Amino acid sequence: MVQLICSDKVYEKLSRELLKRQIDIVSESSLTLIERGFDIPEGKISIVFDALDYMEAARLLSEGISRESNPIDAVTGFYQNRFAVISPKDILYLESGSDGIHCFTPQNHYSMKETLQYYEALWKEKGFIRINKSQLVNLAHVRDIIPWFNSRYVLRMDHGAELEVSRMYAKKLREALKI
Amino acid sequence: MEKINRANIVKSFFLGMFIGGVFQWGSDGGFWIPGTLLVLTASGMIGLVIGWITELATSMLPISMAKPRIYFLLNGVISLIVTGAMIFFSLTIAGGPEAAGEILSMLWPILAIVLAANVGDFIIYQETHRRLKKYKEAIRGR
Repeated sequence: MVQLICSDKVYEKLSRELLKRQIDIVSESSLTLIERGFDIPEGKISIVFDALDYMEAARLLSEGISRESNPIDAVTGFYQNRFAVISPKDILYLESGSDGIHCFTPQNHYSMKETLQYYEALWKEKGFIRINKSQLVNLAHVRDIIPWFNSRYVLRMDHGAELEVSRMYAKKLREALKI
Repeated sequence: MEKINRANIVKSFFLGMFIGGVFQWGSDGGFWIPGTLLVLTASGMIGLVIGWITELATSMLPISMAKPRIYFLLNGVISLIVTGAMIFFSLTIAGGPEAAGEILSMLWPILAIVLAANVGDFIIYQETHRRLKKYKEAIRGR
């Protein structure tokens, strides 16, 4: 939902674009799209655009909304000659090896595309954190954080796996947990 | 070797200096700047060596051994070995059982420092678990 504050001409074009993208125009919305030159209302989040850029404004808004409401919740993994859909909440950890990325769930381990950095950025908000150069762990499945010598930690996972948090990434872990 | 944390070795140097300072403060030898500096440097160097040996030895421990009980037990054992070695060397240098009483009385502050460090470590461990639980709840809420 968005409120439009603009000239009649721009309103006509922009409302058509927004409706095409299934974004409703509601005057009470807390988000406003404002054509430059119009007064910015107080107490609302406002996006100012130039009349000529109305298409770009509509595109950015719809992309932002769709990204927010449809985060990539599932990925595909390859296991025994078939693909499987895996939800990030089922993933214990990801590991990069010489033959690519492997994803470990309580039941299986799958080959995956992309890189650890990609998944790290994608699932940061879901509690995935890098623990060493080659592993990305889902903190939701960590059962125990064991302090270990040489400023390292060992993570004991829900299903018994033990992963080492290297000295470099131990700081990151402490920051994530606000220790 | 790459697992060794050099920063910890440097910290051991300063901890050694601090303990040396406690020793010096507790002794009735008076305050003599060159002597005090010598004691601080020597105790710092002992700390450095102990820190290096500890880091080297612990870097060889496999993570399959990692359990909270083992970590705190090993920490305690290392502290006891280091304190025991200090008593032994102090008695050897001071020359005889007559100095033992004085040395043992000075070791109490060291034991207190070591004990406080281990208790602090355990409190941090418990706090880490509390934070992890909180973090997991926050993730579920997202």
